[in-house]
Amino acid sequence: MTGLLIEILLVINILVFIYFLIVNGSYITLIILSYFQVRDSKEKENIFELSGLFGTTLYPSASILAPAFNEELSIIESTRSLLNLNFSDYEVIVINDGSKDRTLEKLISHFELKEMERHVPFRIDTAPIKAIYGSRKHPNLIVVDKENGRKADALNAGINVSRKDLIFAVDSDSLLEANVLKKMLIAFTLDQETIAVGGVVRVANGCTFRHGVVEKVSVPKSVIGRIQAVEYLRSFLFGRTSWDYLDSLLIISGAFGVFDREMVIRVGGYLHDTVGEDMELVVRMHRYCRDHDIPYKIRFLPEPVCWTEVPESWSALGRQRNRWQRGLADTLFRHRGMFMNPKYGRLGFFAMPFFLFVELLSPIIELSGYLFFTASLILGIINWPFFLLFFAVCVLLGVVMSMLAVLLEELTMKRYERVNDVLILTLYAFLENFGYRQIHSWWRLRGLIDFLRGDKQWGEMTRKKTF
Amino acid sequence: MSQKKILIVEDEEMTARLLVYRLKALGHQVTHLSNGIDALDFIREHRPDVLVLDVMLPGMSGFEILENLNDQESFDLSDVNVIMLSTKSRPDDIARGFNLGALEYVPKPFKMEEFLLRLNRIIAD
Amino acid sequence: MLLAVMTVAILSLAFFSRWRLARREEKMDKIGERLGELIISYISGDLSIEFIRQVLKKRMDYIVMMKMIQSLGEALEGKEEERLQELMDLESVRNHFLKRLESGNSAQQAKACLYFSRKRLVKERIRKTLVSLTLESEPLLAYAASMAVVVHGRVEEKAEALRTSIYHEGLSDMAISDLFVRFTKQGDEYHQEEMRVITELIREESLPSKRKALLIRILDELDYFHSVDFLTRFYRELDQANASPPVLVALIHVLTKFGVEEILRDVHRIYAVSDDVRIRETAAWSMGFFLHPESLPILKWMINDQDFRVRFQAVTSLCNYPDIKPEQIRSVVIGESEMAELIGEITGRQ
Repeated sequence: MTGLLIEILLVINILVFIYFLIVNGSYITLIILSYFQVRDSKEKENIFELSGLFGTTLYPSASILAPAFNEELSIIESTRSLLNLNFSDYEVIVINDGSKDRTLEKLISHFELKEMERHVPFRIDTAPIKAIYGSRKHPNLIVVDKENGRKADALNAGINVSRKDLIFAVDSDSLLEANVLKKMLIAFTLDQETIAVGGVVRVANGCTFRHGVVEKVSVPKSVIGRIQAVEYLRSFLFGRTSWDYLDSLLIISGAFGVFDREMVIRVGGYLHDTVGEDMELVVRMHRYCRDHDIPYKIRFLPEPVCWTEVPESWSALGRQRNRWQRGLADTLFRHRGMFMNPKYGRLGFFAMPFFLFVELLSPIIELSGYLFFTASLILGIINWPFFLLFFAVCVLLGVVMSMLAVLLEELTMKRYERVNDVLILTLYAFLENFGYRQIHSWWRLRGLIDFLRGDKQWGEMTRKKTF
Repeated sequence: MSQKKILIVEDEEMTARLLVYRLKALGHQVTHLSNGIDALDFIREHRPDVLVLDVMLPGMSGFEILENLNDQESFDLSDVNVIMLSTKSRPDDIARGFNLGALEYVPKPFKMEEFLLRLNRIIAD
Repeated sequence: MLLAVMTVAILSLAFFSRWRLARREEKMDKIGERLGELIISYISGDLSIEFIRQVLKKRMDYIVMMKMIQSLGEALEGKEEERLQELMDLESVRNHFLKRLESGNSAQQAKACLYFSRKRLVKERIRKTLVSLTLESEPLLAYAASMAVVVHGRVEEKAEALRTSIYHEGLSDMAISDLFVRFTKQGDEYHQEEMRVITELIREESLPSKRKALLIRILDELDYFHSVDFLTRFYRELDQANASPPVLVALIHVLTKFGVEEILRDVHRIYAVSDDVRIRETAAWSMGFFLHPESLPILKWMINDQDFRVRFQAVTSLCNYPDIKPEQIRSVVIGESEMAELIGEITGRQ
């Protein structure tokens, strides 16, 4: 009996080890791919700037959709920053999603808004719109006052109100760099089959801003902020650029993505009953286009940057990660038909399995790995030296990966100007493997359990900090 | 010629640098801003003698800046000599500029000598 | 153990390259800053070209310089622009880009092509290289090479480069329109030659209809009013039943803008009842342009269209009629409050 148990444990240990090798192997591949992709897109941008293409009049026009819910403190600043972008044909649509504070009043008085007539064809169903406001002072600002729905509902309302070619979904607590729209549109100008483009989201905590424009970039002050700064670098630059290289980008951050408006309407807009509406929409667009044989491109650009404030408390961060995990689970579950389905090519064979096994199920495997290893150690199946060696390999690989992310990002994008900042980030890339990584796994495991129990709550307070 | 306070509002960096260089060489006190909102605040606060204004600007267009200044009762735009300098130079753009109180409208691309000549004429008046 | 050594090795390597890169970028920033100052003093006539030539002998960031020259070139003319040209003609600058043109790396080649497209003259040999690069499949390179050929090529080479690019599936409408805009800038004020090239392309049977529509719109964007005769003829000869919607939409649009009122008959009879939403929308727009009394009942009928965009355009066009009072517009499909909103938006906009 004990013999069988030992056998089983041994097999499990080996499986965990193999899993571990696959995961890290794929991460390293992704990092290498992303390096090429980033270099390539920098070259393209260079050529683009030298060409006359920024001057053509045929650019698509864009509506920026900024849903706002109880944001009286930051709404003026963030709206002003949106009005400040360097682009010719765009409008800003702020959607007040039934705020209970003075968000709307603040907007009305600061921008001298007047209620105006504007017909809204309800091409996507949303909660009723109460009124639409415009401003003589800022002709490209529209404020929509609607009854409370979810963020997805607010975005859908914005899509209905918009009359432009593209929609640009942002969080009203994120700040964009002034040339962001132009840079995003490079993708649409280079290739007309482009239907969606995502950009990099970075941690704003610690940076200084003026008029909603980044003045000085530096790392966050707190431990939790710094760890997240490393995480964001890793997930955006390496996760997403490399998936872009493989034409299999599955996530575009809800805080920062440009979409072809008609295409979004055709697939039915954002979904109301999911917590991961941003990822879900992208996957649905992939699926729709492949099902209908529409040639398309969904791109990620490493250059346009949006700065967002991240949670500074452990409990808020835990809830956020729990929600992300549920969103991921929900999206993968809804579109399980794409899994290993040859119709969806690389999406079905690489991207979906990766997200399932590496992103979604990793907390189970990682945490149970810890358990089994400890059990094996106690039962004497593996000896201390092996245990220590394996543990060291795990940690070192994790460390190398995070640190490479930081350093490679600095090689390619170089946003943090002070070497000190880079050192701090590298240090945290090292430290996050001890403790934070395990806590993070725990949150994600909880998220997975909550998903299986059918929990679709957003979690209080964190609503505005969404991706 | 007397020294004047000149504000240049232009978002294309090299063009702005060139203008600053030439106007400083003529002995003027020159400020450069590249953003419409900043420019509006600056004009209200510092009241420059001459305003060199581009139309297409981030934040607020050159026309909107002039409209805002015209709307404001405490501000007399006739104290500020406005020269528009823009690639937007269809007849209706130019008319709009003059209606809003611009004294000159220089279409881009422009000849530096001609621009300075027009500027001097305004200052002399 | 081995892994630990490797980790340390990778990290120190990464740190080292980061440090080197930081130093190089710092140097480049300084050069860029100084280059900017030099260029400005030079084109203001305060520095001689000789002086610049001396400075440029050292390693320079030519791409930064190209960007500076380009943005200044767009803003300036006259003496200053000529000085910029002299700067571009400097031997060291030319050699730099010549080397890149022959490098085989498509991104570098594309940059070099854009450099040559800004120059006044290029040598025979370079021109031939540029022409051959227009056939590349990499879109940015094909675009950049065509740009240079459109400026420097012989008449038939220009036409061929444009033809290649309009058939190039990787090139976007924006890139193609950009090429044609540049093409037009080269010609005389009558644009006979340019128009001949474009019209011959439009007549090509094998050209995909989206591209055909783009070319028709380009005629409008370039203000080629004298293409009216060609367009009218092309329209008359068109096989109405089999014509593709994008081409029809483009034709209705451009012919309307050029004031060809004879199209109105077909707008009334055929396009206002087309199955295609975009055609109906364009038809409604066209009627609002000519404001012919005969269009009135058709527009009034079109505000009951099943598609919002057509209704919106029909109401907008109706509001253009001087003797129509917006409040009088009634529709079966649109409710009173929706109509009030529509009219509010349209009249508020005007």
